[in-house]
Amino acid sequence: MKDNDLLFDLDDEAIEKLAQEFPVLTDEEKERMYAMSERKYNITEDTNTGFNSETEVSGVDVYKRPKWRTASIAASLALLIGAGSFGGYNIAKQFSNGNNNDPDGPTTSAEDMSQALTETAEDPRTEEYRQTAESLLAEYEDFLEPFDYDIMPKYPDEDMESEELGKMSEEEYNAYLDKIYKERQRIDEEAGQSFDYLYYELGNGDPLDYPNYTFLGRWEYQHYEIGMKFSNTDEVMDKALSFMSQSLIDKQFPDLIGEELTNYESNRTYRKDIEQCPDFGTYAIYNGKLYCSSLGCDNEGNDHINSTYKFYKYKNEPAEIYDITDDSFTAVVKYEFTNIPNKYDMTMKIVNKDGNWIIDDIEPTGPELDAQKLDIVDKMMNSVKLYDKISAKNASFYKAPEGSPAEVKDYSVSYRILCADNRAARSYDFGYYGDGYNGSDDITSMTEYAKKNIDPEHEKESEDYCDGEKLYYWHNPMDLDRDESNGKEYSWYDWNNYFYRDSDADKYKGFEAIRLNSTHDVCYDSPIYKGALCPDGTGLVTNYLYDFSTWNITGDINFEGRDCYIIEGKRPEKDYDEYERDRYLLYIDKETGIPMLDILYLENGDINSVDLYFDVKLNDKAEPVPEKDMSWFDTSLENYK
Amino acid sequence: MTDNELRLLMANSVQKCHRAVFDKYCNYVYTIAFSVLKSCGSREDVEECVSDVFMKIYRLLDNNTDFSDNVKGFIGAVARNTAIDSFRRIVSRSSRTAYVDENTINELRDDDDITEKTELKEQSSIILGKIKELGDPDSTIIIQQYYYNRTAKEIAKSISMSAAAVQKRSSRAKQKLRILLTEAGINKEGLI
Repeated sequence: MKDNDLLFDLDDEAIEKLAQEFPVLTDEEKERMYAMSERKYNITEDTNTGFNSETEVSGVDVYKRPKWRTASIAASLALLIGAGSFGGYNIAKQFSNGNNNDPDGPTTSAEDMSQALTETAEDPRTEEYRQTAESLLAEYEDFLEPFDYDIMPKYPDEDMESEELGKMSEEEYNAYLDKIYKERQRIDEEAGQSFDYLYYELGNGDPLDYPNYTFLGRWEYQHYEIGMKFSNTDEVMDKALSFMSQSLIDKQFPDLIGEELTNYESNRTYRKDIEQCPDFGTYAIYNGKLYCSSLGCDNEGNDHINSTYKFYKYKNEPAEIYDITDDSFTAVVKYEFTNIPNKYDMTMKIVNKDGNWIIDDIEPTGPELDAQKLDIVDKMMNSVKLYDKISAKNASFYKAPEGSPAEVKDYSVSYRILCADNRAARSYDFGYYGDGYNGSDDITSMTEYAKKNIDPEHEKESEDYCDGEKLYYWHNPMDLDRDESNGKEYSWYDWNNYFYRDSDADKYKGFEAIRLNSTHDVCYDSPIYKGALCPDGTGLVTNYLYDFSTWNITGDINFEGRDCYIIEGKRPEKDYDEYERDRYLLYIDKETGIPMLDILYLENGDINSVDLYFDVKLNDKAEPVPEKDMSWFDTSLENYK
Repeated sequence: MTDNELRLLMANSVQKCHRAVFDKYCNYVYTIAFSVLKSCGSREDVEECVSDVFMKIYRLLDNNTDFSDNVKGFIGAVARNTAIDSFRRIVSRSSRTAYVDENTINELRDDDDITEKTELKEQSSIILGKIKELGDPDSTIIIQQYYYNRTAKEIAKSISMSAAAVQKRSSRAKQKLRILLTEAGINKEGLI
């Protein structure tokens, strides 16, 4: 066994787990391998020869091995298994109590500052005040970066063009990898010498008593001997107060300075139910050294201290100056947010205190949003709050795009029959694949086909059941415990962490939270994005509708007994994939925000998929969620799958 | 997936059946092939092997092979055997032998040292668990980078992040993993 393997000698179970939990293949790779396997199959079929890996295949349709970069995986592995501890420059994201979405934190009150802006362009002080505003903003931006990244050692740029790599011989390529590996090792060692790291985990209950233990959060702190901008909490506070008011500090960084951590043992879990825990802050002192915590990454991958509002992509445009007086003015700075409708500005209230200009308040403001679009999106994001119970049937049609190796050109059709009680957080649904559909692309025909063919008595191919505490699911039934005598097993997960529940309502501000905080380009911020047990349109919002400029309300329609808005839109170009799915058509229920119909079109106008609901019954009319006895299912740690 | 399901799929459409089997098991087969070939083959070799495995599975489906309702087990066995064949072929044909150490070859034989092997497997299982504890996307980044040898650019594409962000998160996750492993009594100081 090589010494430099992190994961060596995996047994069957671990391989299965790895394949299931960390699927690595991209669609492109899958399609390539699928095409390759079909081609080989067809060749061996045509030539009617038994397969033998040594056989040279000949015939009309000779399979050609694709030519692309071949590099020894072993050599590349050696490159990646670096030594030392480089790379801790980047500190943890905010954990579960997430300041990003702190329900107790300041709320948006754009109207406070956006109202009654009086342009004073003629005022002779405008230019001077603009410069003041911009220098204060620069201070602010600088403050958000806790380290001076530039003075720290960095890995060399290793991304040689693949064309250049392709010209190398195997030996040259390995020498190249070896060189990079050694360089990284050296930098790792250098950086590791000046780095220190602590963490505190907070929970209720015994951490080993899964699933009864409740994880409350994890705070990770880092200290650098070089590159840290401040050396103690007084300096942090002095710097903050030099360009912003105490009230703004409290608003933007409610936990800027934490309790002295020296008396709390680091790198362990604290039980909040039985012991005293520290008050954590963004900065804290431990053994006389300043540590910084709770960093988040912006879209460019740069670390920032999390603040109440995230701002992205400062546009290099002059600030606009309003409401000038001798000791105050308002500056509007242009920012471009990445996943909220329209563009937003950041409005700063700047005041003169004791002869110094400081930022007294900051808020995002911006153009008035289209009220009707806002209402639709808000309903989709908060649909779960708009009705108590639902039962419905669902059909999904999917057709492989032209160019896909899949030769079946009919629509595949899957059905789901579902019911949910949002208040009790209970739900049940089952699904199965039915016969393919080869009728017309007309929505009425497809709907009629689905209604005619859906069969509540059909054998279940997938089943989900939520009992108010746990979500059990049973997809593509598997014999998890490998004991055939007791049939196939369910899996389950602790749904409380992932799904909307009424008691969490205050924490998740639905669209408002998405609008101000989420990071579409990087990853969906899970504390904001809460799944639902009923028909769920939140994904459509976070994927497509977040940019109001890309869609329009083009009419009304009554679809399957529900009054809906017709929405037509275009996917953001950056979300295009190889099949160029680009336009969509939605019917959104006016009352509940349920996406009654969702059609995705390819660029050539073909339908790629149709997802529709019918037989939708709400509240008293809804079919009840059946009681299922899951007491037999063992959720203890040793049997957890 | 059951025998019945396969038979129904085959009756309906051969291609649909192939596609369904491929979609369901491609990650599984790839992981098996990769685990056997990573010490000697290129990524191209692994893909070649995976396509061989599925070609064989399709032929077994044609012959109405009885999978005894253990389709996954069957496919796993075909994948392992095919990967070992590929391994032998690669080793025998090229100078890549240099990268294949004695132990890797021993792995393909019946192993005498059961205890050591069990310990290593247990350790791998713990490491995998600790990587999982990192949470997404860090765990995915670490697995793709350290096990599957993907570049930051490739990982970035697959998880919709910038390459710079992947590199940064990876560095941070590495730190965290080191601590988690130390807590678990596993010393991988030299590896991460």
